[in-house]
Amino acid sequence: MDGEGIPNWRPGFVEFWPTILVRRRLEACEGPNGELIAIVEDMDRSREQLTSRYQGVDFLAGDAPAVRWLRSGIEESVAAYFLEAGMDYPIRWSIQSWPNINRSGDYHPPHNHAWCYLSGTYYAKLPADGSGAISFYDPRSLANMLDPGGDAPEYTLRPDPGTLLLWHSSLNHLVHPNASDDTRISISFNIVLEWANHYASDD
Amino acid sequence: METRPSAVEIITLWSSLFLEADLPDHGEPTRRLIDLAATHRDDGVFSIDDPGVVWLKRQIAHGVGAYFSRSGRESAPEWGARGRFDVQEPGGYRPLANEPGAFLAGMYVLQWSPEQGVGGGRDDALPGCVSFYDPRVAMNMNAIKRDPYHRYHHSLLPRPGLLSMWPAHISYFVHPNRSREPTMAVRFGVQLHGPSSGNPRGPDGR
Repeated sequence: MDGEGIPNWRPGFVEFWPTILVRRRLEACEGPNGELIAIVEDMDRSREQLTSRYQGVDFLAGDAPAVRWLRSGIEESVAAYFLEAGMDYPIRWSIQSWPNINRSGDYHPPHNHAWCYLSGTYYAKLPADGSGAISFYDPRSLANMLDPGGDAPEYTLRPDPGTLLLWHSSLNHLVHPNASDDTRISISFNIVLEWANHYASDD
Repeated sequence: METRPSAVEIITLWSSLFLEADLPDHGEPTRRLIDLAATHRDDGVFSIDDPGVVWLKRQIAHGVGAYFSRSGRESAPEWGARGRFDVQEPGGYRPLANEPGAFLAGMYVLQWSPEQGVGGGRDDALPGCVSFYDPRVAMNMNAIKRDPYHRYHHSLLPRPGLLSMWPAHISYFVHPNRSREPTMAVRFGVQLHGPSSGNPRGPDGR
């Protein structure tokens, strides 16, 4: 036994339980974005508290070309998520969606989306000053307490117009205050699964 | 044939990093440690003056350095470790626990029989295994088949010479030992020293 020898073996590393965030830029978004912004602004003029009373809205049920374009982009992205995960069997799901307008000073406190499977947001208009970012929070509660220098428990993105984000609905997230005089306009959605018995685990 | 839509980026956040290594030339030091386990049952393994302990401390130091390097730290913070022998007689097990006060928890396996067939009729048990559980409480609650959030545990059947380390906040369960021999391991916690081991670093580079 060589107690003095310096070890030179190489360990194996495995990363378990990552939290997944899907980011996608929808191509040729400029035209649809203009139309989406106009639709949301028009809805905003006719509905009190459009953003915070989102339960009564089904934005993606609309028939406007930009709405159909966005719905298609979301459906493709959800399908890509399933494909990436290896969930290559029929999955039935529906979308619940609503528009958001954040004016100067508006923000959305930390929250998640109960009783849903995936949640996401498509960004049509962002303040030019970079405010209105979105932060996601580490679901490993308190894991950072003894990990100085490790990953921060907050992950922040400043999306561009045309960006679509998709995440697990239980993930807490915060929309930072809009510090500009511009409006910040986005369309959020929940993916809700319709149960089928073949979803049960095979392991 | 389905293809991934353009410009889909999968960002993975906040994984739990595990280290596993089958240590080379572990035979003689492991035998020495097994002998020590018969008489030392407190948490002062690393203060024992014995070549087997010296050897193990070097292996752990190497592993801790590799772990810090892999997890992206520019420099390894100062650290110390406390270890104890863990012996589970046939039928013994260890309820769910984590390693309070430590940054990393670890295990070096001295003796562990792969024959775990004694007793029990269920085929969904994992006798002799160690199971580690997803720290994202309830993340699997609406997961469906092959869902990335479905598998809430990582289970392994230890083997002599295996050194493993994992984040200390991870809860783990040592399943009942159904072999005819005791299982033996050195369990340890790695504690970081001092407040200057690095400021939090945002994944977005801020």
